[in-house]
Amino acid sequence: MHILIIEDEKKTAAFISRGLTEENFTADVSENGRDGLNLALSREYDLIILDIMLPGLDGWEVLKRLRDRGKDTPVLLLTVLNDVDDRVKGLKLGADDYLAKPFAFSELLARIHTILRRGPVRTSDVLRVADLEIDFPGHRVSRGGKRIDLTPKEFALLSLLARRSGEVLSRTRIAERIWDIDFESETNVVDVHMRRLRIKVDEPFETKLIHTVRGIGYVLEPR
Amino acid sequence: MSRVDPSDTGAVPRRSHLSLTLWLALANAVAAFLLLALIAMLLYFGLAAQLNHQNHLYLHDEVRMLRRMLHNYGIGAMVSDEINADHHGEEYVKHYIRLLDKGGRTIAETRGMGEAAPHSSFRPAVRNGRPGLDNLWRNRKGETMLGASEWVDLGNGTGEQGILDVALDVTNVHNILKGCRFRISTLLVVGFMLCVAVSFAIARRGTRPLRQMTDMIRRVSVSNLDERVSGGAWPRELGTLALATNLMLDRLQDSFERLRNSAINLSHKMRTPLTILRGEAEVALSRERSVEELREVIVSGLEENVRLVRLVDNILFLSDAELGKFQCSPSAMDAGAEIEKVIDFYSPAAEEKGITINYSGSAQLLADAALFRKAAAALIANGLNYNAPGGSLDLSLSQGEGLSGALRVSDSGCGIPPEEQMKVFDRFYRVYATRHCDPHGTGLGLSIVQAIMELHRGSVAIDSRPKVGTSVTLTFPAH
Repeated sequence: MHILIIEDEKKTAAFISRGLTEENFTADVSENGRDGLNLALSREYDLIILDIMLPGLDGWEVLKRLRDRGKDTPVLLLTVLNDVDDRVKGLKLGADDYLAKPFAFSELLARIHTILRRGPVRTSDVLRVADLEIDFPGHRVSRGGKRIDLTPKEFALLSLLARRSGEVLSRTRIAERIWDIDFESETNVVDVHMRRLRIKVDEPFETKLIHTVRGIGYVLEPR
Repeated sequence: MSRVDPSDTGAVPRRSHLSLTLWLALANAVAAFLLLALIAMLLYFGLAAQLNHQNHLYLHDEVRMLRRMLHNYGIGAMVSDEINADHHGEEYVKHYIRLLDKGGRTIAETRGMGEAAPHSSFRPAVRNGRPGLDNLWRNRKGETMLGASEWVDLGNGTGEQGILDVALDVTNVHNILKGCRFRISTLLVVGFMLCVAVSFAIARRGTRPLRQMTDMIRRVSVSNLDERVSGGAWPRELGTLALATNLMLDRLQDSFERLRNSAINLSHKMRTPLTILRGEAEVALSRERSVEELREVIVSGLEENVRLVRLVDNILFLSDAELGKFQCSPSAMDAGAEIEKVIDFYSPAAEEKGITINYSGSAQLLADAALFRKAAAALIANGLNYNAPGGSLDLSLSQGEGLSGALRVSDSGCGIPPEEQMKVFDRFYRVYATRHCDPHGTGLGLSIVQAIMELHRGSVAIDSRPKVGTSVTLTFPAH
């Protein structure tokens, strides 16, 4: 997968490029809008990460010219402006997604995966990660054939992690997705929920599936 | 933030209108002048009409008198007494008399009359003794004459008819009117200039407070926002404007001070995580470290970063809410269901701390569900953080009239000293004695709750007793 990063802030471009390379993407970096546009037009990329505040040709203009030339490479906009108006403007100009700075790298990665996934999302009724089996319609969870009893919220939490297996989810995102709460206090209430889930899902078993990624959040994957 | 060119401030807008002073002065001058002109015209025409009327009366009196004389004393007496009488030209209105026989031949006439008032200048006399028709003309010498011609009985019972021409030299009267016209024109010209000058003076005087006020307002800048439009002795209309301006300045100053305090507090708040980030990185780089040690530094840096981001998010939320940029879409909602969601989120953490959460009551409120949850979450988080193990947190909903109602959150925590109770709503304010309860708190929780309640036009009340507990009540109006 080939990704073009158009970002004038060197450090930002560098960490995105490095992070993506380590996730087995190939990443090119362009530090201004004009060169970025030329690259985007002359080569075939799977995705373009485009900063809005660029010297010379800004992100809006790059996106506009790109779409005017009939290029429909998916574009993910990066910006410090988190206005609804700006989001709408970006999406109207043909951007595929929008991420406001400062962002967590894990979230950027998740969005890139979402855009690239294209086609139908995994909608199977039963999801398996290692020996963990989640039956969505039946609201049943088992590991190695052994039934695990979960509360509805625990089920929702495990489903979220399993659907995004391999992806690190931040505490804030988990709280937003499962409880609709965007107020975060330092007590890390999410940790308590995760601890309870692990007692049921991981503790009785040899291989652990839920892992804490320090400083970032949680991930569900076989290791 | 839009840039303002300093040279722009105080400049007249590009599409400038006529100056108020000029407009007032011109309007006033024109009005005064029209009035003056009207009065002058009325006086002049009144005088002219009166004088003309007098001339005609005099002419006909003269004719009547001569007719009677002819009738009583005959031609001879009249010719010697009246026609040839030498008046030495001393009369103010000189009169000429001519007598003709019925064939039109002149019997006698006043000296000089042939030249001043030839018979052809008169309108033909009418028979049957009706009064002659007056005619006004200017003769060759430039004198203005008024004359009438009538058939008369030549007297002495002979029954012989003749024509009597009487002419008045009204030049003097006309000169009076001419002089009058000249004086009135001069008066109008001078009067117009006087009107303009006086009007300008009045308008300047009238708009002087306006200029003074402009000067005062122009002096107001960020560095002296406490300056006010003072003076007190404004005209009533401007007094209202001055009051409104001062109130606006009050609001501006208040907002500005809040903004300034926020900026100061924010920079203070940011100093801690920034110092940690920098210090840890510097220490880590000062000598060789194991991978594990470096990992610790990075993780700690990430934690500080998250704190900073959260701080920025909360500040943005507050400023958006304050500037009214925030989308708040209240709708009828079941407050109980939302509270349960929030309790569901916090209850495991509460259990671990040994705090029981009790919840009672229900209410249908007109509120934005997401913001309601945010406010409730902030209050519950406070109730858990500033509570002692084994304590309790009581939530109760009560329904008011219509869709109004209240949420009350009471804890059995350490309480807030009375002198600090009002300050807890200030941004970043944290009660010093209890800050160890939530060492990483931003001190923005209650500010956010207050902002949310302001968006709902509701209110927040706090009631706290040290060592007993604190209860916060959110009241939602029915709208």
